[in-house]
Amino acid sequence: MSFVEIKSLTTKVGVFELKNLNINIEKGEFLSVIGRSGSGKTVLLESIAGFHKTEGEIWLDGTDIAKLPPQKRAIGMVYQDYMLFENMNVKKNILYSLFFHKNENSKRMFDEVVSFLGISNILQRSVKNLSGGEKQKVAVARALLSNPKLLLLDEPLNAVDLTFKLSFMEFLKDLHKRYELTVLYVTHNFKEAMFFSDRGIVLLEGKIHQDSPMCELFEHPNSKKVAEFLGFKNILPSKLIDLKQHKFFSVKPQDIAISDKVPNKEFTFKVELDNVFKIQNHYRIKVLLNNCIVSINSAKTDFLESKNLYIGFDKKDIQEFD
Amino acid sequence: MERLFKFLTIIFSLGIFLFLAIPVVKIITSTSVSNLISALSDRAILNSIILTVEVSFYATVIVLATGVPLAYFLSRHNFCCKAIVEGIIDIPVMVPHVAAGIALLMVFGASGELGVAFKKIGVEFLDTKFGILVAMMFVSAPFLINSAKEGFKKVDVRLENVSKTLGANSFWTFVKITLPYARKEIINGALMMWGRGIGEFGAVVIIAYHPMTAPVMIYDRFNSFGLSYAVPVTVIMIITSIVIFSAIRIINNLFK
Repeated sequence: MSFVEIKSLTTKVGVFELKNLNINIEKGEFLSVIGRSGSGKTVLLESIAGFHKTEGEIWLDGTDIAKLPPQKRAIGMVYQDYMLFENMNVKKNILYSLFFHKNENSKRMFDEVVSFLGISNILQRSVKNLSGGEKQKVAVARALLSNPKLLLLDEPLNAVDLTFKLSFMEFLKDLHKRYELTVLYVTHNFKEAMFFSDRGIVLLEGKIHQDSPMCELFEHPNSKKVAEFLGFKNILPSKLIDLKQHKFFSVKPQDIAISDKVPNKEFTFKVELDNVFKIQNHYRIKVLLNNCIVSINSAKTDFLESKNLYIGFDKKDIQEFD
Repeated sequence: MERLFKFLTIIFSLGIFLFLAIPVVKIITSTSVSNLISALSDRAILNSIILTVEVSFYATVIVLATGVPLAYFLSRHNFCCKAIVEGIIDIPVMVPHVAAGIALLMVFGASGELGVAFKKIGVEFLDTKFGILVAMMFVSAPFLINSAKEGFKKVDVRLENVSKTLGANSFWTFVKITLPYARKEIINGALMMWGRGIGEFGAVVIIAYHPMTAPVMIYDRFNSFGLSYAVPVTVIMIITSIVIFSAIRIINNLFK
């Protein structure tokens, strides 16, 4: 049995619904859930933390916590906009959980976390005038002091200044290693997910669309929806190239040849020019192929004046999905 | 256009401010200091003012204990007849207060259901402090409940969520997070309620002409002896209110 096992989790919040989710997380894993805003990421975290009425089971370290109140679940939650308690200073925020369950290690833990996060100089300050990064560190420290078995992070990088984002990412990664945390991280940014996680889950419209190792997610998206979400270009129907195993395929703009003569490729098509614009050091050419728009990266545009325009690509460069 | 707008803003603001301020200034300056001192040495006047401030204070404390939980409940839950419940809470603000007094009399009077029930434990309402208390509570509770409700609505539910994940149960979350965040609105509401209670005449006079609260005494003296006898009581009443409420506002701001 995994450290965390979520079985058939269903949550309704207003008209939105999370449908029948199954998620396993191993001890010490940093699992990312990727989805657009509105796909149910935050609702998922809130359901696990116990803020919504749910159906299904949530096993954490051998106990089903699905019916326990939030304060008995041993789960830490960090929201993207920190949710620091403004009626307390930084130190009191961090020590909040110790009012409810003290342990003999808490003093040592406090010193250790504060020095690791480098926030010892702001302990007496009001939380109102901290920078985004500082606030997020305080929120993380506060969650850590409660000694959670599972830490839920809701897009914690969103409110951090762009300049500090990378160092904050490094910091979160170190933190994960140092405290051997089990983390469930949600984000709309798959680059962040790639950075932190070996495994990713794609959550769209309240449903899990794919759960696979991170590299596989980008090599083999299992559906058109996932491919679109992950930013795949040129998603075209498979019947164009007479491959019947899957419904769709995708080919990267840089893997397509374009010319006024038929290119020496396995699949070639005559196309019509749609438009052209320059991106940094190359051109993005858009052409019409059977009413589908295909984007191609090209260093040159001199052939575009020709009446006959052809594109071509090889089978090895395509990815297929349904 | 720019200047005209500024000009009109100032003129209108000044107009309404003077309208509110002049009667108060006028009545305070219209009576001599010696008159005031002799009024203050009149035990009847002093007792009525103390009674008014005191009973209204008790009414406010009772509604703090009962109305704040109600306000919290209303701010956090939606249910089918919520609008009706909120409407009922607002009724005392809308009906004439004399009518409210008559409604209270029917319930708390000698033959009213609650009047009969309370009589068994020795509490009567007609012409007693308890009568004044229920009259003040009834007409002024909405100010506190509605203000507290607005305060609670402003508290992000996610703050409460985080507090719970950190080990606090609902009670401690309410005490340590929700209440401090809504404190300003609750205290403002309590002040409004206390002040409204002190000034209440219509409902009080129906259920308890005696012992006389200050507003009833002002009315009584005006009716029986004329304007010059009513003024000193009025002035002391106004000054007492101003002093109490300014002091509390200042203290509240100190602890921000």
